[in-house]
Amino acid sequence: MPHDHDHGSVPSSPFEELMKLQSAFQQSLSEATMQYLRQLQGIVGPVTPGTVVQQVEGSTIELKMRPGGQAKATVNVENRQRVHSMVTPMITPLVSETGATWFAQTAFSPPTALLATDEVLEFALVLDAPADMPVGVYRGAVMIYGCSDGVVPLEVTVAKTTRTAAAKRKTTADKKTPAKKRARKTAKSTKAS
Amino acid sequence: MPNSANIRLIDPPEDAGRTTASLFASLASRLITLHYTSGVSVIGSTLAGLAEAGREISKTAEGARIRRALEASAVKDNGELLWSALRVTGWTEGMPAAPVLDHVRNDLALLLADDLAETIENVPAPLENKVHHSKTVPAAITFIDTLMGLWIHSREIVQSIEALARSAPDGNTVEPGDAVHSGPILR
Repeated sequence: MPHDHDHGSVPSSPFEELMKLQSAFQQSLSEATMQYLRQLQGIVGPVTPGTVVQQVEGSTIELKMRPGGQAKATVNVENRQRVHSMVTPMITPLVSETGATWFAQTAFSPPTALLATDEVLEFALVLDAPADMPVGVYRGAVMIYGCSDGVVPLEVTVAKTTRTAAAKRKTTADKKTPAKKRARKTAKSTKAS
Repeated sequence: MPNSANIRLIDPPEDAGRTTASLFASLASRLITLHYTSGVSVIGSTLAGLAEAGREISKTAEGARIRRALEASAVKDNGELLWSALRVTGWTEGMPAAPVLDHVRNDLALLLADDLAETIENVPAPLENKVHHSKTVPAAITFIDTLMGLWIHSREIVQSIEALARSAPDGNTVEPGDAVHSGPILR
């Protein structure tokens, strides 16, 4: 009777079973050895100098906007390294107190830049809120992509628009002057002209 | 309400700083290492590096939007099918991740170095090998992470070369097109 573990058949002889077990063991051993060697290779490797972001103390961005509105901020980046650095600022998803996550539509200007030693560059951030954005406080961070460590905390408060003084005056005037009266007034002024 | 922030880019405190000599030594080490390693290791490490970059970019709002759009398309299923049929996760398991973005940025900085000629003339001693404490067991290399890594890596290269073009003296500058594709489609 043919022996095949995969199809649940019975082994033909104990020797055949032993050979299969042994070859399976050898295969597992060689795979484990290869994995170990690769890990060993990964533990020690050539150095690739990198860049760390250092946040200036107290640096944080707080924005206030209404649903459908726009907010602007700036991030000043200074290159303190001895060679040029590529800078690509980005923001993380913003999370509200209720757990809602906002994958904000943002644009940095410039989107990326090459900074020489000691050069300081201002990156302008424009943040657009969708019209149906739930109100709340959203928190996230501005990060420099590809650099480790530092981020700038970003807090965006989305609140309904408070009525402006002009809008309030208009409403008050509307209440004082009924619609019919306003219509007559408009007709008179049209005739006169 | 503060709507601006200041940050500085500095060298890692306990690592080799970015100087023309260290960047040159790093590039030379990478090339020398090729003589002592296999093609599988090189491709595997590069894939691992791309996958790591993909995981990192997926943490940003823009990256997350792109990733969600890719995951919602047929690309993800077909890609994972290929990944599984070719057993990519298996043969790349345990491969150290090459810092692919740092390589691009460091090589770009070398192209702009004022003291490159004299640095090459006085060939710097190779940097000491680094012991990676925290990444002894790298994460599995998935198709979608690698795809995301390819996206940000290629964008980084395009933007780097455009930045080089912009750094030309006034009068010789050709303004490249905007390489950042954004719009409501991925919102």
